[in-house]
Formats: sequence, structure tokens, C-alpha cells
Amino acid sequence: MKKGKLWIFGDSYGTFHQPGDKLKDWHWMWSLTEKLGHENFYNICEDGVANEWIYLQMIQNSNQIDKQSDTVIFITTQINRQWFFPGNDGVGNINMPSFSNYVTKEQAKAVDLYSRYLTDNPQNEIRFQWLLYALHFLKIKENINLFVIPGFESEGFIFNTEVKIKGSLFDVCMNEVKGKNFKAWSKWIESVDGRDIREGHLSAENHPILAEKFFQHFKNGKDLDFTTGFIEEIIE
Amino acid sequence: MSNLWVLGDSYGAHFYKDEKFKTNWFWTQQLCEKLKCDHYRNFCQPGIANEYTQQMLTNIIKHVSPNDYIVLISTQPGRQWFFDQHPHMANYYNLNLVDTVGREKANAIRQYAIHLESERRVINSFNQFLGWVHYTTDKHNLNLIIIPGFESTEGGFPISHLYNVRGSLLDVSNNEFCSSDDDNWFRNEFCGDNKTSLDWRAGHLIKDNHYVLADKLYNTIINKEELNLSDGFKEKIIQKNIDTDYLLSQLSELKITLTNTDYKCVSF
Repeated sequence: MKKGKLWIFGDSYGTFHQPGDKLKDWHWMWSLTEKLGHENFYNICEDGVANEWIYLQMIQNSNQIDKQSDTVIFITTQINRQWFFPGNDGVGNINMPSFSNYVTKEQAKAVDLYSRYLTDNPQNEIRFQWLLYALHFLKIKENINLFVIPGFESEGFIFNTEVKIKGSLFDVCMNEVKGKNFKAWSKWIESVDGRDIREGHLSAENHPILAEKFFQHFKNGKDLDFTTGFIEEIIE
Repeated sequence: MSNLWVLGDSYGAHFYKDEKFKTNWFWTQQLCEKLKCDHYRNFCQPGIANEYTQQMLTNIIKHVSPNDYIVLISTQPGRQWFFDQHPHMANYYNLNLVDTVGREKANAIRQYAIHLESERRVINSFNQFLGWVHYTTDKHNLNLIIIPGFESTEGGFPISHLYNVRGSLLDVSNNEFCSSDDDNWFRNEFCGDNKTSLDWRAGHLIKDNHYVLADKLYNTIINKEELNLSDGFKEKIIQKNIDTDYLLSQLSELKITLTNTDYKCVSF
């Protein structure tokens, strides 16, 4: 008998843009929900958001999470994203080339000055550490079945205190592009005008692999390695 | 052998220029004596952000022993550690920006304050800071109390998860004035020069309240009593017609000015 729900909080690694009918047979969220024996999943993810926004979504929904039966995934995003504009939450990536198209002229100017003069400090790294430890504390204090998954940076940070996590979802995303490196991925993303049409930045072939890796990590406490075991170099 | 470690902003910053200006009655030093600690390690600095306090705590953890006590004063959540080498400039709304960081950076900060700062983000971030401290406290089995310098949280994590704390040091500090006019008079005329606003109180508190705070804190740490910062302190003391000798006896022996930076923090 199915019970409980799968909650997914995160950025574009957790969003999807096609109707569920077209995704349910292969997308990792549907198959992971099935594997975990949950009734359904709740997806609270947005493209382009910062970690602070994701954290707030989780806090605001925490009283609806059933500690006995639910599973919660928290996908962290790039540490240099900033939640400067509550209400315009999807513009957290202040370094994206088209950023100024989504904010006012004054806001764009303020962000430009911020990037030029006010970033010579370790604030982003420190706040990311705050986020991770706050999630660890919440997991223990509230006894939530919570798994923190790195969307981007993972080196030097502790995402899971019991098992190892190597790499991030970005490794899977990048390694699908021929060349398997940041330069090749950047060239490719530029060639498609920044529009990555892959659901959750992964090709369909890698969704079942990701679902199985998550399942083994969540249910059997296996280490989670994003750098091996996925299909690579399928995009030119 | 035990140590008292004190981390945070100006509420705990214990300055001196020479021995005779050491304010031996400073609440953190009194607490050190009450707790019978062998060493007093005070790393507080005025004007810093919570990010800097986290870095200080991270740096000292390897030196903390099981018998030690840590007092961490959390500061205003909105402060920003913009300049790596100048952590004391995080309280940017209190600084003469052009003189301290130059025209371009000052303009960047102004634009930040107008267009990018958001209370919601700041509160959210402060809650994560508390989560970080609580998890660190448990992970390293620290005897740590957080004292809020400013706002307490609404919802989210408790301010100090090992102890009960109510109110903030700002309550104690503000309640020492009879009125907001007296507050302005003290900072701008008595301590300042009508252009600069200063506070000659040690750690923003009058001497008598250092004794009260040290007592209260000792009872909280040893007897697990609630630390109530909203009640039990001397209130409505400072006013325009106060006896000047009495007022001076309640202030720091070192009259700190914004340009007077040749002081040292007490730590021995």
C-alpha cells in the first residue's frame, strides 16, 4: 500500500515544463515516487531562484510534511545566486547574460555596482554553510527524512552527515555534452541561446539512472556519485 | 582549566588603550571571574556582521575544551561584510561611507541599500545563521549561549537552543534613557560634537547594568535560569539634567571616538 509523499524543493534541476502525462514514464520524480512507495510528489521548485528562496519554501511548508512517512529532497543551487528581489524570485542568477532583461534599469545598475565593488568577501561561502547546517539541524530537531542534494558546488561542503556525496547534478548535466568539460558545456549553452530544453537539465536517458541512484541513497544509505554511472557525451 | 570565549559585536567589545582605562567591571570580564575561568578570550569587534562572528567561532573551535564557556552575541541581521579586510565596516548605515570606503564603493552601498536590501531575505538568512550555530554547538558539544544584540527571531529557530533567552541587549541599552530626546542629547551633545553621534558607554551599557548582566548571565549558565533582558536592569537613568559626575562614573574610562582606533581589545 502506498503511503506518504515525496517533497522536492529546489531550482531548475527540479522544475519541468511539459505536462505530467508526457513525463510520467521516464522522469526521475515520477519513478522515484513509485520506487519509494509514495502516493504522490509535491514539487516546489522554480527556475533561477537562490538558496534563500528555496529554504523559505521548505520552512513555510514544513508543518505539512509528515515526519513518519514523507521524504524530502532539498536541491541546493549556485552559492553566488542572490534573492535580491522577493516577488521576482527567478532572477537569483545575477551573473546570467540576460539578467538586465528581467529587472528595472535601476535594479540592474545596483546589481552591477554590487558585483563590481561589494563581492570581495567570503559571504556567499559562509551563508551556504549556514544553509547546510540549518538543514542538518532541522533534520535532527524535527526528525525529517530530509536529503540535501547539490545542484552545483559540493567540494568542501557537507550535504549528508552519514554518507558520501561526490559531484553534483551539474556534473551529470555538463557531462552529457561532448567534451565533458565546462568550456564545452558553455559553448553549447551559448549555441542554444541559454535555453536548455532538457527537463531538469538532463536527457531522458539519465532520468531513470538518477532515480535509481537516489533510491539507493535514500533507502539503502549508499554513497551518491554524480560523476560516474550516467550516460555521457550525447549532446554535440 | 577553563576559558571564557566571547564573540560578537560592540556589545561585547572590551577596549583599552592602557592599563588604567581597562574597565575591569566590563560584564564579560565579571562573568569570567564569576565562572572562575582561567582565561578570558574576547574577540568582539564593533561594527561586524554575523558572518564574521561565524568565522571567529569556526577559527576557535579547535582550541575550545570541554570545560569552556562560549558567549556569542548576535548582531543586526542586516549588516553586510562587504569588505574582506574591513569586517568592522558591516554596519554601513552608521558610517560616513565616502570617507571610509571612497566614492565608488559608497555609491555601490547606497544603491544596494535602496534597490537590493530586503527585510524578508535578511530575516531568512538570520534564521539560517542560528541553525548553523545550533548545529555547530551540538556537533562539537559546546557550552554556548547566544545573546541577541538586537532583534530576536519571530518563528524559526530559537535564539539559543541550550538556554532560554528573552529580549535583547538593545532593550537594556535603550531603556537606560528617559526619552528619545535624552538619547539624542547623550549621543550627539554629551559624547559627540553635534556632528558625530557617539556612545561612551562601555558595550552600550552603563556601569551598573554590567553588574546586573553579569549576574543574570551567571545564573543562566550555572542555574539554567531564563536570561531575561527585558526586565531587572536599571532603566531611565540618562537624561539631560543628570549629575555629570555620576554619569561619567557610569561610562567607559576610554572615551571612544570614531577616529580613535588605536585601542586594543582586552583578552588575556
